[in-house]
Amino acid sequence: MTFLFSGILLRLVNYQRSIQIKADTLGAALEQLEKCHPQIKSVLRDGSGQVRRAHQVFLNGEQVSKPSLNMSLKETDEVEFITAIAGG
Amino acid sequence: MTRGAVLEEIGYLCEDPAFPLLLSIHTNIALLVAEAGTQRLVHSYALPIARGERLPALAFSEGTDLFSMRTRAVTSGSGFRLSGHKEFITGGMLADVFLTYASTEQGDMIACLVEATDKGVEITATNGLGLRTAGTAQLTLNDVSVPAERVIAPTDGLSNAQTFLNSRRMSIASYTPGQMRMLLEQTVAQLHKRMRYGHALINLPNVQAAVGRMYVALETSRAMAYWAQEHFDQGATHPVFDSVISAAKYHSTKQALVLMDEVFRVLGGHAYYGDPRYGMYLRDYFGFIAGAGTQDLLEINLGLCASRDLTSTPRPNIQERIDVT
Repeated sequence: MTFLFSGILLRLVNYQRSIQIKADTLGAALEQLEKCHPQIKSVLRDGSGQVRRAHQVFLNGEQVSKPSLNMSLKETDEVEFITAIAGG
Repeated sequence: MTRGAVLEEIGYLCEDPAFPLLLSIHTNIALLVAEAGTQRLVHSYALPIARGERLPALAFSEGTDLFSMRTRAVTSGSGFRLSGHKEFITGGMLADVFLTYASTEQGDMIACLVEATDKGVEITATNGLGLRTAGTAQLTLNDVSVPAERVIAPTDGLSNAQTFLNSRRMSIASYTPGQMRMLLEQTVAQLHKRMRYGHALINLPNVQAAVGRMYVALETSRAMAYWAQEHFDQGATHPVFDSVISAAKYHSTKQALVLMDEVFRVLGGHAYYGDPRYGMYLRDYFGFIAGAGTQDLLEINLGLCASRDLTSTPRPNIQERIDVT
């Protein structure tokens, strides 16, 4: 599968727009990603390990409203994070 | 739509431009606390806030990026001890309870309620360019004990705060057109009274053009607000960052400043030296450039979302994988 990044997340993955990972679930893919880019873990996930609601997650272009770590992934799948956040 | 219409009328009728802002902060915090779900939070905070018996304020900003916030929450028994400093708190001098956010030792963020009377809480006034009737303040937390029952989000406080700001943008977009309508009516009334070259100013074509531009600013802001409210009523809004709501806040802020620019150009000295309300609204509208997400940051976020939403080509047959829990 391939992760796609943009905006404020880019600096946490050395400004790579896409990163290919070998994994068959979202949770396993995130663990692989976090091994290479540990700083992204606390930004993407909350204290319970779930993806923070502030990130909009898209699977092959379709928004996933409540992304599950058990969500199955294929080799050709693209998971994109859009992070639109602001201060007070 | 109903809440938006009420806010618009309050914006129109209220002499104090900060009042609808404070009111919207209070009701949005009441909603957020109620959504936390515990009976104790609802009865101790959400309902008294909704009735106006308790006055809350949001203590979120620290003048840093959102991933570098320095206020810390250290576990203490079943609760936390908070230390840090929060800035730019609208209504902070009036508040008796603060919705605040702090980073945990695990790198997460909690959302919790701090009472103004809690030991270790210091509240100091902030003098800003505008919003002078809003009681803007800073909050310092010196090892403040927060019991577990006052934690409204034990994890992912970042998203909790974004939900609040999303609602706040809707409120700003809703009441600002009411204020703009009042300002336009006051300006037109003055233009009927003031004479130049034997004619009322309102009869000069260049002044009529300025009034036309103000009318466009008002009505496009109302239209955006109504569209955002309808979008909300349809259940189509994104709870954390909704592009339509954010575009409405962005547009009303920009158009309110356009309207004020036109007011000063056609009324001249009367706006600058005469009626102090014009200066008050101008200063307060500059606050919207920074409030509930800076205009520049909203542009970036809107561009980020639009550039993917407008080019996405969803593929079928992935729903069963999305539904896995």
